[in-house]
Amino acid sequence: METELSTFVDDGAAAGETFLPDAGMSGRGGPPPTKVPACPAFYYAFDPNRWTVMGRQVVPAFVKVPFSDGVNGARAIRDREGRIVRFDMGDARAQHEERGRKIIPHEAVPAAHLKPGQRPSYIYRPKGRPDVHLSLYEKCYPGSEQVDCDEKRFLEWCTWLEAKGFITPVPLHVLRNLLDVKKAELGKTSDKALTNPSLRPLVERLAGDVEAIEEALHARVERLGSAPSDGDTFDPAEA
Amino acid sequence: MAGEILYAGIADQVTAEALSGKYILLLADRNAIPAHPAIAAGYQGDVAGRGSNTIKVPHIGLFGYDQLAAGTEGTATGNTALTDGSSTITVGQRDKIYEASDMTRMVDANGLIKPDTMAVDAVVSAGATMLSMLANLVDGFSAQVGTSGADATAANFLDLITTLEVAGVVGPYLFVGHPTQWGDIRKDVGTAIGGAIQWNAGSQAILDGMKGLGYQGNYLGADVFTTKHVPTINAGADRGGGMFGAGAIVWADGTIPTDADPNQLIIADKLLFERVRAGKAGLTAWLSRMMIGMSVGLDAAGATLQSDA
Repeated sequence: METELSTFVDDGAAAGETFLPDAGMSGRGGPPPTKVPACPAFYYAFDPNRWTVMGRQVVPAFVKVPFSDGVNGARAIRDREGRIVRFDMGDARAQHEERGRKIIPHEAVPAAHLKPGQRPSYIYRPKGRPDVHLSLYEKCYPGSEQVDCDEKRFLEWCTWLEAKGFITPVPLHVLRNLLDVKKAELGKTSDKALTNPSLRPLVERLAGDVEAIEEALHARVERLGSAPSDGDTFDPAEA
Repeated sequence: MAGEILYAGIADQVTAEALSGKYILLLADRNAIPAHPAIAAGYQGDVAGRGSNTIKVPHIGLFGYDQLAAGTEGTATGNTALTDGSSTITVGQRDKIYEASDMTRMVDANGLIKPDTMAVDAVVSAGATMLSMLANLVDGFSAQVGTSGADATAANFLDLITTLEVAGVVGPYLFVGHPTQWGDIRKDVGTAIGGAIQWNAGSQAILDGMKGLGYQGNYLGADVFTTKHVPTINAGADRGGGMFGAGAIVWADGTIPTDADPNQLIIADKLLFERVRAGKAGLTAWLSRMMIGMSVGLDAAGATLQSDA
């Protein structure tokens, strides 16, 4: 039978708080942290000429601009103890923008992709590993080095970025070039697959990529027409 | 019989575990940046005494960049515009410190917590740091080959070479890739049927070559170097290795001034190794520091290979 316990009474004793001393025993509860190697935070930079095909969709192949002191103009700001407190990425941003690239702000994430109360950012830091910075669309696992891509939501994010104007649609000349390259690759791989059946999944993948690019090309041409660079006619006799 | 002295009964005379006297290094990529012409050509010097930690590298379109145009007798020749550009390198600080207590150093049985071991660690770590910086640049070239989600192939390797040749990049070329990428290419080469790949002596060489990270040899005319520092791209779906020639990567460093302090040692002109003593706390720290910066110079002098991670 449980004895009824008396409740706490403030009888004028000295104020204080409960305290749990460290007895030198490590907590072994909970899953272990991920074993993904340390990697710095980064910006994604959008290059209008760099695209790839993923999940039957033509998506930008973003460039990572790492927050790493001395890499491509990144500069660490340190406190008196030598600890890095923040990064000055002005030079790094300028170098990429000079090449026609656009830095995607960290906050450019749809609310639906975030947990309630989670601050908007496409950088994700796993618990217990403050030295690991992944993208919100990369999944890592406790006690493992494996990293997987959350392809469905990544593709949604790319579509959302275009809809919100953070990135421009894929240029027609890029689509045409990508189609030429993929068709050539498909042809050569199909030939090899005749004697090397293990290449058949790759052939199917490339065939799917070609279809995706053709659909994107068709959709773009319908919307915009086929406009090359702006210019004018020229008569060499006038030179 | 009774009273035998058994191991189970002499707990007071033995320890639960004894050190083996040897140690095993945890797995890591400890390779240094390769001494390759494509990288050596990009060295822009030491920022010491230059008044800034940022170096601007001019790009100039001369020595055959513009051809002679058709002229007209009796007519003044028009000027040819000079094409130029630039890239900048910001030299940053890279450092690491290990700090051990007097108690730790006192009981150290492996002889690892001591200055000469830490000095060796400083040198190896500096090389690995530079390699990591290089690996974080090769994934960002505008020219890209390969298929997202698909293993790298020998054809992709040839595409990299072709891309650089079409761009007019000066060789020799260096491929810096993740071991997964190189392993996929090697497997494709090893299972190739027919064609020049199967009967190429270079194909046999890479299959029979020594394994491990670092320099893998020369294949199809390009040098190959693998490192685990090559990052993922496309939200973790792929790895982004790269092939480049001279001018793609530019880098600079700085010589750290010392003050004839016996606790400071400059290794190989650039790496500071310093002993920092905090006597009141009984702590001794060994600091490794170097000043280094690395950037992409000519973007068109490199190409990225995207392939399944």
